[in-house]
Amino acid sequence: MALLKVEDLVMYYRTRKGTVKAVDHVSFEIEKGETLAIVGESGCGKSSLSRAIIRLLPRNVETYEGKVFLNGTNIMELSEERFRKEVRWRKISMVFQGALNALNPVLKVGEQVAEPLVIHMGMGKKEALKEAREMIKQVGIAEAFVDRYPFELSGGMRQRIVIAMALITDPDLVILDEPTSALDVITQANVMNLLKRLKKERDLTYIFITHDIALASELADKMATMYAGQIIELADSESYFGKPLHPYTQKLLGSVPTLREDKEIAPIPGTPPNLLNPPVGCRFRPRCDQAMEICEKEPPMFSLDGHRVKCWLYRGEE
Amino acid sequence: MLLKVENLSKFFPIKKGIFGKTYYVRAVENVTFEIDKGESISLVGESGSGKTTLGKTILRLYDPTSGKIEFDGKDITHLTEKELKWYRRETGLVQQNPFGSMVPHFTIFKILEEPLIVNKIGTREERREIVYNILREVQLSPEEFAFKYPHMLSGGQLQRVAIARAIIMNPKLVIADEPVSMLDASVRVEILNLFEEIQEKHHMSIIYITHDLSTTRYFSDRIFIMYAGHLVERAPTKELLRNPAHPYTKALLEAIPDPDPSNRFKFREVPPGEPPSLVNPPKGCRFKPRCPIATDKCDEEPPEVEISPGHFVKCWYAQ
Amino acid sequence: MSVVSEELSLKGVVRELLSYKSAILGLIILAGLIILSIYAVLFTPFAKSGALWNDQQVWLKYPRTAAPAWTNIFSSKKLPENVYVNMGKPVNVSKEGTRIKRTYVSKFSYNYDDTPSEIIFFFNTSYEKLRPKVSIYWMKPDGENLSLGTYRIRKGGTSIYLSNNLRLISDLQEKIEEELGKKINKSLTLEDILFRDFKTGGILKGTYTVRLDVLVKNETDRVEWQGIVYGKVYGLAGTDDKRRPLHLGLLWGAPIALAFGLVASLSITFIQLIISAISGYYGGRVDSVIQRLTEIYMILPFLPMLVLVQLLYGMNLWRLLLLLIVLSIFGTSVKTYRVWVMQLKSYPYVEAAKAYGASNMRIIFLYILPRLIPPTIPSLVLAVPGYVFLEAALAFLGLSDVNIVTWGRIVEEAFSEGALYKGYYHWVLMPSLMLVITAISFALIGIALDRIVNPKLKEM
Repeated sequence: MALLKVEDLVMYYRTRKGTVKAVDHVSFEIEKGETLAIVGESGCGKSSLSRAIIRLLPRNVETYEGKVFLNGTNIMELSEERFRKEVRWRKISMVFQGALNALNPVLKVGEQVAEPLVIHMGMGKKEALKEAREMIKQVGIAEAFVDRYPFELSGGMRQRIVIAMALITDPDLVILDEPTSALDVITQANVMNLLKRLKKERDLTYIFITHDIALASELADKMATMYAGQIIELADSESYFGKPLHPYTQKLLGSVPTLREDKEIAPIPGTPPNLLNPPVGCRFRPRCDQAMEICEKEPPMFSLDGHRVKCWLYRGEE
Repeated sequence: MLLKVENLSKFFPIKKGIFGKTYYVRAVENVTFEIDKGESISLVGESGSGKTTLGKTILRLYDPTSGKIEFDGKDITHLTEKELKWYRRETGLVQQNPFGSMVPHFTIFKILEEPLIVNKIGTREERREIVYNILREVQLSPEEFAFKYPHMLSGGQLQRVAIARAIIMNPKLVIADEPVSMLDASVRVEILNLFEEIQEKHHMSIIYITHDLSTTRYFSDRIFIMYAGHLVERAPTKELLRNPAHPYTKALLEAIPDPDPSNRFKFREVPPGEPPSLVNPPKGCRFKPRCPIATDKCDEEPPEVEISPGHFVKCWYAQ
Repeated sequence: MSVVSEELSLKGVVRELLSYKSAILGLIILAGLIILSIYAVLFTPFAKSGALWNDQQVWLKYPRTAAPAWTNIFSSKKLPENVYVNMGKPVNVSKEGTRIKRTYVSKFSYNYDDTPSEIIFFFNTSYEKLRPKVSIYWMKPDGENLSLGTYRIRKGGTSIYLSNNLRLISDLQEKIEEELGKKINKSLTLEDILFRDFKTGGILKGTYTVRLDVLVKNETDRVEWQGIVYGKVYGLAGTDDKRRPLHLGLLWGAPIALAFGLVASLSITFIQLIISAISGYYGGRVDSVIQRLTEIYMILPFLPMLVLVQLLYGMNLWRLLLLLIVLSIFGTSVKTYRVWVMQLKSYPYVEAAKAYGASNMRIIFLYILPRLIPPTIPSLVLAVPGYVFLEAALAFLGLSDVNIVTWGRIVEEAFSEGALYKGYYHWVLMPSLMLVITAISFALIGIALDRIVNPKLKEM
């Protein structure tokens, strides 16, 4: 049984200009110990998807439906109260982007890391602090920093603290939302090393949200491409990088500059669609050089030996 | 030779309290290099490495603390704003944030006309002609875009306008400060290609400031690496990527992933820690606290050594 | 916080403004005030309004301290309005001795529930030798005839204040007491005598007849007359104790109030913006000097300085306005605006402008200041009534221009005449109402503008 199974998840929100279809019928599943990386350009809905899973919804949410099974239980059916008590942070935790904003500036980092234990697990403060101290050591920060305030820490250390906060409750699933976007490359590599180590040591399950496809390959066992609120390709990493199927994924990979191999890079023509009013049928159709007549109808998800792709090119190849 | 920078330093004073001691942020220290006409340089470094300060000091948006800047054989280090008028025409700047770099209440036309008005170039009709031509050159149709306001354009389109503004007076040197870091991957390539095209056509020199080493190989002749205010290595692009000599450059190259599913099975061998404070940097080599091969010798500032033609390294142990 | 959202155009603001019902109401009221002001300036002798207001002779034909006419609607007791007894043609011309006697008869109907406030006869004569003589007779609807005396008319204009003629009144009271056969314990007023039925004490409604016998020496001697039975209500806003119709005062006060408030608010805001821009943009020593100045200004005693200027130089509206501006330009807003400027100054487009050689002045006036105007407009609009009130408050303290009519001055006069003790509420309420209406209109518009320009408020 998959650890997490998402079925037809929908999350729309209202703005003054209309309804934004941020997450539009998304389905996928993750096994225990596996990492799924979701890549996409800014505004494709990947951050909304992560928030929809952990049910941190914007105030102006319009539609929120679908099924999310965690260890076989549909957590969408839980009341907000029960979700908060039993799921959020206990079972699913999150590492937010922009570590500085995710930390409370007037709380010492030790207390900060201990806080989820006190709030979500009902642990005593003393005991929680002891565990927090241990966790902080595990993310590679010297114990001496436990009594410091966030502003006294460097960017990389703050990001480690945020990771410690997400792991302290020993959750089943950790959502990483651009966890290194504000960091420099070497610090980023250090944080990625940490995430890899923790994954190995603790058999963690990650959902890794990023716009950086090269960075995604650092963690991903499975890769998913998100485009205009939909997942359009989903495959294990070897197959995804080795033989990408969706024209958008192919172009996305083709636009990534590489350091170690000489290859021509090419831009993707056109601009990403507007989630207020996405194109009818395949949403990539207006930018796709292989578009056909049938693309005006929305393609289903085709599965080629477990490599799933939402594109009419693969009709009949299942 | 177009630009010659000699022992250039830029310190920013910070005062603690009214009667407190003045400290200095040593953002750029002792930087020396030369750039030829039509050459494109990538200036690579992490945030806080001083690369942006160096760029702005070259453009004389900051007054240098010490050292010398020569442009086209003329010393511009200490010229006043009035004396710099001609220099402003010979240089252009493209900034990082396309959404903040345009006056929001001006149309695109007005934004592009401003440099011409300020520098008293052309009549009204001539200016119009120049603006329309430059818009065409950055592949924006004047009819469609000239009278739009910046907020109506996408990041990529705005960055094209920013490039147009930088080159509208046909400068000899353009400094582009992280011009694509705020854009989506798919748009980045477009903008970088445009830069390359324009640079070749106008035979301009470009200093491309970036934190992203992987984009530099596509269009720069040489790469300069900065770390904590020091220029630690400079070499032709291929040479630098193939034979990085400074331990910091090596770490930087190691840290950057290429898309590859086998990445997830290995750890990257990067030094721990983070760059030092520039108020109180380590003595000598600034990478010493993180450097895997550092010795006591590194407490002394290393000289710049040319280890192969055009490949300079500021390290005691470079071969 | 970014100072201002990018999508603000004038058109957009207006369109959004019209989506607020409160703002529409505010705009309608403001439009009304503006139309009033334009009307006052173009179609009334606005330029001479101050002189007219101070000239008591101009207002003789208006009742004293009359309430607004519309108060009758809300009252079961219908108070009288002015009744004019006009001359008409003489009904009879005859010889009496060496003189010519012209007899005039005028009728008017009186159906109010209260006595009038006053009765005056106005005469305008020209004659050769002898002064004309006039006898006035009064016939009430019940047929009672009263003689109101005989008067000699001087050359030019003469007014006969019947209500003040104590001799006549006591004579008439005696005559009535005789008729009734008993003494009346209080002294009656002329109006009681002329308009009441003494058996019931009520007002006699119906047609009254006034007869005038005018004796002149020569055929060519001219005597024109008019009698006014003054009412107790008048016009839209009533009158004050100097018979001045308040609606005119309010009308003349409107352009002054609007102009004063707008000019003060606009010029103070714009000068403050420029000072802030210079302070925030240049920083360093310039900034220090300006900031210390604002701090000194914060503790400047505003009122004593105004009093001092009035004592030394006297006060008029323009001097007051100028003083107000001078005393406000280094106000606390400079600190707020300066922070905005410092924020805008750090925008990349300012740096870009420096890179292509734009001068500091160009950057301040073309790039930075225009960005500051939209966010200051709500506070600018909201400040207008503040300055209108300030002028009123200063007028109340006697620190205003005595040569023009302002709302504040009307309130001040009402207070100094004890209007509230004497029950002349309209005298205070009408100008106050105008002040409040003005304040409300600007507040409604300003609050809506604030929501548009600072959209963060909208979500709350």
